Amino acid sequence: MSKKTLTLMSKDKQLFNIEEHLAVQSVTIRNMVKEDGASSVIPLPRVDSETLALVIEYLNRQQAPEEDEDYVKKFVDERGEIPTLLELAQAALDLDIKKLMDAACMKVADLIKDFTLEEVREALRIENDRTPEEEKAIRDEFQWAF
Amino acid sequence: MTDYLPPPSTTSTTSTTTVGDLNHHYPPSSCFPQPPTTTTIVTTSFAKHGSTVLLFCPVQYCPVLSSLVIFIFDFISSLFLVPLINATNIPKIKTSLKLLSLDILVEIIKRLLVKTLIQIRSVCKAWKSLIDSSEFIAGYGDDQPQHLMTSYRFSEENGVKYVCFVDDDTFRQQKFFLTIPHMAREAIVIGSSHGLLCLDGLSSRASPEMDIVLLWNPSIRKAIVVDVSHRSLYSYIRFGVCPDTKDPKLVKITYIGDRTKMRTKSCIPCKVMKCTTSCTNKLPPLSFQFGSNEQTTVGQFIYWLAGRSDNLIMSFDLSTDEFREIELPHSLRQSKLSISSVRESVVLLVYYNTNTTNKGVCDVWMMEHGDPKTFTKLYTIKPPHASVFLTPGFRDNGEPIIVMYDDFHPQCSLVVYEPCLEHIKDLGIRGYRYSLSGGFYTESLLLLNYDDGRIEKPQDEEKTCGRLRIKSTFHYVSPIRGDILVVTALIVLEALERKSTKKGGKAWKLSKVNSEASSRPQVFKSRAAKRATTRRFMFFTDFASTLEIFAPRSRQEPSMEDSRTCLKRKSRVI
Repeated sequence: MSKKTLTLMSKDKQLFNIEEHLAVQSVTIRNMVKEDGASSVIPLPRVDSETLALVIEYLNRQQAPEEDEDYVKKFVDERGEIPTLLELAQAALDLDIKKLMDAACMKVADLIKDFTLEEVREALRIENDRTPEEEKAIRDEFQWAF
Repeated sequence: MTDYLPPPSTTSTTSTTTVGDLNHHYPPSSCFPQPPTTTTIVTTSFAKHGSTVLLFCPVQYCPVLSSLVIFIFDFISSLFLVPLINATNIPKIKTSLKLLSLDILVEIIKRLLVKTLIQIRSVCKAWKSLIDSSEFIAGYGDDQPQHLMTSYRFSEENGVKYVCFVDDDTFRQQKFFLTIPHMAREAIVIGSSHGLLCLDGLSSRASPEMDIVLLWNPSIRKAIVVDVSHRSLYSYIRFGVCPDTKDPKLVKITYIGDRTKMRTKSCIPCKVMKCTTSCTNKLPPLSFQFGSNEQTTVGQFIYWLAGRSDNLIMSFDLSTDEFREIELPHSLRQSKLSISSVRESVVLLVYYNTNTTNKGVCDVWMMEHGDPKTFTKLYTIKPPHASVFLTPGFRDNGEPIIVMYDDFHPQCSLVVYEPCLEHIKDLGIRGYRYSLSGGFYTESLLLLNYDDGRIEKPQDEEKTCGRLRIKSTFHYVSPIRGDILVVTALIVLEALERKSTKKGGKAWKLSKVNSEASSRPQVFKSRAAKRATTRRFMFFTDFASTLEIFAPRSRQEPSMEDSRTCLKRKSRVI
C-alpha cells in the first residue's frame, strides 16, 4: 500500500507535498482529512510559503518520541529570528501543532525577556502610543520592577 | 566565484540556516572564518559590490557580542566582515511582518516572569489592557515554578527577614529578599494558594478597629485588605483560590455561643466569605479545633486538621462550597500531626521522638485523590545528628524542607532533606527556633487588576479637617459582599495640639453601609475612644459604594474625595 500524499497550498499559491500520516500531526489538517477525505489541495491562506516550508520540515522530522522535545527546541533555536518565529508560531497555532507552537513562543519569550521596552517595541514592531508622562505614571505604579 | 552562489530560487526566499549548514553546502569550512558559533545566521541576500560578491547575513542578536550584528561574507576574500551596527539603525528585515495576533501574544507573554510582565505593561496601551484583563490573569501562573518563602530572626533582638528561593533547577542559588507589607510585619501566613498569601494577625497598630486579614501577592507586591468583621476568639479563617474562577475565597468558621455549648452542638453554623459572593453553609459536626492554624490547598480543596478528641481532616471545596470530613487511619488519630501537601497530594506529618536516640523525627504519610483509604507512610524524616522541629513544605520534586536543631548550635537551621540518601542540604538560613518558618507560593498576577488595592500609598499632602489633620491615607479595595465593591480607607489622623488638654480626641468607626440603603456612612462612637491618650489615630472608613464592579452598569468609582467628605462630616461632630 503506497503512502497517501497530501498537497498543501500556501498563501502565495506554492504547493507542498507531504505524506498524510505526517501531516495529521496537525490537528487542523487531521480534521480536514476526516471531514472530506482531502483528496484535493488543502489551501492554507494564512501561511506564507517560507513558513510552510519550515512547518513541513518540522512535520517531516524522523524522531524517536523521547528525543522529540529536544528536537523541537533545537529546531526553533536554529531559527532564532523573531519575525520568523512569530510566523512559525502563528502557523503552528492555525494548524494546531501544539509542540511547535509552544516551542516557538517559548523561544520568543526567552528572547524578549531581557529586552528593554524599546527593544521589545522594535522587535515586535509596536508603536508606543503613550506620552512619556503616561508611561511614567504606569511605571510608578510598580516602581520596584524598573 | 559564481560556483559558490546558491541557485537563484534560494536567494529569493528567506530561509534560515546555521553556520554548519553553510559549511556543508558551500566551500570547505577552512575557507570560512566563522562567526561566533552561538550565532544563528539568517540568510541571505547577495549583492555585487564592485568586483566583490557579498553575502549578507542580516541582523542577528549575537549573545557573545551582546549586540546585533550583520555578518557580511565576502566571497572574494572568503572572510566574514562583521560591522557592528547600532540597534536603532537596523534595517527592517521583513517589512511585510503581519500584525502579531492576540493569540500568539498571549502564548508568548504568559511564559514570561511576573516582573517582566509588569515591565512590558508599558509597551503600549493594548498590552497593558491585555495583561490587566481578568482572563489573562486567571490563565497565568500555572506553569511557573514555585518559590520557597522563609522568614526568620537570627536572634530575638533582630528583626524578621524574609528570603525567597526559586524552586527550579537552580534551587539554592537564586535567592532574593522580600519586603512584607508594613502592616503585616507581625502577621502569620494562614494559607498560600495560586500565588496569594493570606496573612492574619496584622499589627494592632494598623487595625485597632477592624477584624481584617490581608491577601498579599508577593510577586507583584500588592495586597488588599479583607474585612472579616465580628471575628471572635472562637473563629478561624481558611483561605484558598478557586482554581476554576481564580477567585480568592475566605472561609470564616465561627462558633456561636460559649465553649460549653459548643461541645454539645451538633451543627455549627459558619460563614463562607468569598471575595465576590457570599453564602452561608453548614459545617458538619466535630469539626472544630482551636489552636491550629495550619491548612493546605490542593486543587479545589482546602484541607485542615480538626477534631476534638480524635484527629480528623476537614476539607472545603472551593468550587461547590461544601465541607467534608475525612477520617484518619487509627494510628494517626491520637498523634501530634501537621498537614502539608506534595504537588497534588495531601501529606500528614507525624512528629515524635525516637526511643533509641531521643531525636525528634517525623513520619510522612500521604493521601492521594482525597481518599483516606490511600493513606500510606512514605518515609521518616530523620536528619543525621539532629531533630526535626518543623516541616514547612515540600519541593516540587518531593523533597521536604525542614527546620532542624541539634545539640551543638543554639540556632535552628533550614535545610532540604533528601529522603533516599537520608542526608541534608543546607539552605544557609539560621534563626532562633520559633522564628523560622517557611512556605511555598507560585508567581501569579492575581490582584493586579484590583484598582487602588495597594496598601501603604501615603498621600503627600496634609489636610486639615476641623481639629484633625490627615497625616496620611491608605485605601484598600475589599470586594467581599456580592458584587459590591467595598472601599476601605485607612486614614491616619493627627489631632491638632490643644492647649487645654493632652487628650487627642475620639475615634469613630464608620460602619459599612448597604449600597441599597444609602451611600451615606453612619458614624458611631468606637471602642478606640479608650485609646484617647494616643495622639495619632487610625480610622477605618468603609464605603459600600454603589459601584458594581462585576456588573456592566458600573457607576462612579468611590474616591478619596468621598472619604474626605466623610471626614469633614465627622469633624463637625467633634
